[in-house]
Amino acid sequence: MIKAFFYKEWIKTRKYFALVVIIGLILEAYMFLKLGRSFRFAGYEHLWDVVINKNQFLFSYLKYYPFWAGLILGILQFLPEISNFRIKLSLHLPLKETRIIFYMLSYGVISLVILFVLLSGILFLGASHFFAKEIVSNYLLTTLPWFFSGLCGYFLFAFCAFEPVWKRKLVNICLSAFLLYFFFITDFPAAYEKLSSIIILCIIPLIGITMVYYSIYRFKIGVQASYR
Amino acid sequence: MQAIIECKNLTHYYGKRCIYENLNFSLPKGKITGLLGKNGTGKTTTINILNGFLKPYSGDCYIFGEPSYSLSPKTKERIGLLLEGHIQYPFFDIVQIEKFYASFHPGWKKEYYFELMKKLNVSEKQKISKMSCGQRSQVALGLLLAQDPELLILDDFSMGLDPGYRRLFIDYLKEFVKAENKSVFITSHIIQDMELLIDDCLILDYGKVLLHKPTKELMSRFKRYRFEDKGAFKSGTDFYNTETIMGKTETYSFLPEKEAIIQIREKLPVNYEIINESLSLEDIFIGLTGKY
Repeated sequence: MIKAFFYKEWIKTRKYFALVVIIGLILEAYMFLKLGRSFRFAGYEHLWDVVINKNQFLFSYLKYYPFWAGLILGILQFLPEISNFRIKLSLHLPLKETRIIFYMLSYGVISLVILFVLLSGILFLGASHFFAKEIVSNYLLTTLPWFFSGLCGYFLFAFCAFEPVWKRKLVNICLSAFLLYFFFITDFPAAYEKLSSIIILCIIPLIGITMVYYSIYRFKIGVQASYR
Repeated sequence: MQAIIECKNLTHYYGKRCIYENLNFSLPKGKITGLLGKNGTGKTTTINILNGFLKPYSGDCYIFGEPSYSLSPKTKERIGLLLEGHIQYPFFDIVQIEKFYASFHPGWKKEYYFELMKKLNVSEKQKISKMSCGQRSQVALGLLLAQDPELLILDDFSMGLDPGYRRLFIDYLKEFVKAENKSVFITSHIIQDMELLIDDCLILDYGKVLLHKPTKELMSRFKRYRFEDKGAFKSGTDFYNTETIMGKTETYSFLPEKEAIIQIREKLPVNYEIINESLSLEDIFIGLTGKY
């Protein structure tokens, strides 16, 4: 049955999500082309100075991409479900509701993780070509919260979308914006390297998942559902 | 007879607005029951409660003996649900949607679905989002028939359909119910269609069940009486929705014909001519609930 759910979500998202992947690849290609060009024109010494002494992060173009990728996937997946309350069709399938939601979210998480691993892999290989191991690992650590923001944006969109009451939806949007802020506090290299930061980064998506279930629960019991 | 749906003391409010209070009814197995009511009497609310998409303010609702708000997967498998407006997944084409649903239902009968799809004359690659309302209704119906559930719950099946598609829908439903152990709970705005289809009639009025009777009984017993009395007639408890327009009165009653006429004459000062009429289900509905 999980196959059937993945099939449904794949049909729903394939074209636009392919576009998101292509944009991600183009973005990385552009960053590396620009980096190579800078090395050629400004020289290694200058760029090493910028990176090491001035702590500049050279892949900032990537900063909001994972968030947008997560958000767009959420929109593609869940907007058709909430329009005309089509989610009722999914919830009526002969499975437990919690499992139905789990399968739907799993598709999104797996898709995003594959995309982010691919982009991180390219980033790792590309950066390794130019920089020392320590700088590359610092760079990966810098992008980690951004990739987490992608997952979180995905969950939080579902959290807001499934909420049945409009006023509450607005509260959810504000709460989501607040939680997402934590991922973008700074792009200082490896600013989130402390364990406590990493734990917070892991906790926020977990909060996101829990909140999706909460919204679905509220939808399911028909909280203030006079409009449907 | 075994009850397939049972609602006990069902009460629901939207904010402070009471939809109904202490609603009680049960539906027997093997029948088509029509839920009729004016707008805002709680038909869709009832369907939502039955499918577990709305928790009632108080009271209990059971389907196949299980509380409707927590139906097990096995019970959901036994129920086919048609949402208002024939809502289906618009991103699928007609082959993809069949493939999707077939994975969930072990007794899936794909021949029922494809038989209907042949009649639509659409390409296999046609997306549901690009179909007309009538075509979408056939896709939704085909999927329900292929699921072969014991109970069908249909919310306003006639919405947006032209007469041809409505009739096609009804014909297929009738055939479906002929099979053993099939039950249907159905709402529609077009009461003419229900007349062709339903065995039992459950009529909701604001806040309560007005009536729950076999359709045949309703159609044979409920009559309309018309007379020109210039508004002299005062209806008692046996008469429904008496209305006088420009000196002509009409009233409705379940009383046997002779008795009704005697009672009307007793209340009239002059011996006016009384015309009594057999009614369509739509007229009966208006007679019971009023025009306003």
